[in-house]
Amino acid sequence: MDSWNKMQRIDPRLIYLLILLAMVIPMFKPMGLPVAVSPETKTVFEAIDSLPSNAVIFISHDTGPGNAPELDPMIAALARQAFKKNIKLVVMSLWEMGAQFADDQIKPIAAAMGKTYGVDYVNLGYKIGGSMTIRTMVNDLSKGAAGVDMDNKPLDSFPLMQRVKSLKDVDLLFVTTVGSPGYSDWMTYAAEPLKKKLTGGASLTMYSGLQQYIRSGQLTGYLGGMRGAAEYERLVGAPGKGLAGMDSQSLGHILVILLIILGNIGYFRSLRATGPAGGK
Amino acid sequence: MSAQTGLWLGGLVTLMAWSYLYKENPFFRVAEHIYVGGAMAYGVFNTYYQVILPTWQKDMVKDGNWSYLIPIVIGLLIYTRYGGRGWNWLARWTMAFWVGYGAGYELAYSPAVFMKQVTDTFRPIKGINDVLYFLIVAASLFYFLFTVKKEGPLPKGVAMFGRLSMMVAFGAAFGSITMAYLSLIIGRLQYLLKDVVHLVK
Repeated sequence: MDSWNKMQRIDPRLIYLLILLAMVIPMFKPMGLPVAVSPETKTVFEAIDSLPSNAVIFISHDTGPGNAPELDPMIAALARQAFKKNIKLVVMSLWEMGAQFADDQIKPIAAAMGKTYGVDYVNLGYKIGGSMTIRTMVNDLSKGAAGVDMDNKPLDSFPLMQRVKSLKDVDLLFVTTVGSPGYSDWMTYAAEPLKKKLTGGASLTMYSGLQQYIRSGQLTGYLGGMRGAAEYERLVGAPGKGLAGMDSQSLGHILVILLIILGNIGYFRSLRATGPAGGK
Repeated sequence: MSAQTGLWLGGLVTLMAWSYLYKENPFFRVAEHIYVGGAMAYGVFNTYYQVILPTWQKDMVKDGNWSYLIPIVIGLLIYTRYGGRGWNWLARWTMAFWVGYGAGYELAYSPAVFMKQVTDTFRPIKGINDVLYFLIVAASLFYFLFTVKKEGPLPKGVAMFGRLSMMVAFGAAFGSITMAYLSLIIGRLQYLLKDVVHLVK
């Protein structure tokens, strides 16, 4: 068996190890590879930047722990951009853990920027019900949220919620999404009927599937995974976990491309040596 | 439990889950069960305290909105499937209500989103991207036109172009998914190396 044939039978654990090294090395020795900003990310940034002071962004952080590394940095960068412009945030999640993840991102930034819970932002917590909850919130936000925030405090005790009675009172919808319920529910049941702008970010597992909505304008730009988060962090001017991961991401891609090329060369060379049917 | 203990525990469970990459082992099994059990408990707890209990207390008891009992009873009928032959047919009522309401609801709101996609396909051709968009949409639709035999060089060529276009799209989607999975590894590594052991700034 020649070395090219051996390439067809590499132990997968060796590939895992190589990928791990490609990811870890840049964390210790950052290379500072350039990150170009895509038009979709620029559109998201501008949609938020064009909002007036005191506007309200409604965030639904619809993610689980699996995809949080891609989507959490988007929430952190959004909080920085919004609070800098004195824009208010109302947060919730249609996924069990999303609201807690959003809180973990927003709370320290709010504290550092002198923002007050209840006045500058409120977290409604996890709300079950998907599209039904969204439809209820279109007319009555408190009813859709069962009248309480994530710590079971009554919503009418917060000054911010005195002016946000329904989704009609928000200026922009920002939805992070990894599946269902997600952007498509918010688009169908809130953004389209209310003619509200819908933006946000998606895991790259589904990003290619929503390009047509960006093109048609039904999504006002959209951030694509950790890469989108990194671009957004760059525009906001607050490097975070998104930008920190870009060197590892680039090196990982280079390694995957090299392995695909090597695998294909090995396949075609072994084909030439043995014939199309393996020499039989 | 202190925050640092929680972080160490999270790191340990991550390594236990990753041990599967070497081979199937009891540590992975334990991590898997901890994850499923923990996620389920978290979901049940939050659903009860953030939705069911406040709705019961405010909407039903305080505001006297007892009509909620109707969907509650319809929902509970699903458990009659455990009640033997005399009762299990009642479980179908729950499903009938769910499917009927869900389908009607979806059909009421979806056309607005869907039709915008259809109308957006008809765009003025202003540049090379629009030309490509038109050709790819037409060829892909033609590929799925099963009532026409793709014989002769032109129909065959158009169908092949449609098929190749879709393969490019699938390739792009797969590349995007690979990128997503690498991002998830990076996220966990950042957690392990930065938050847990503080080796990376």
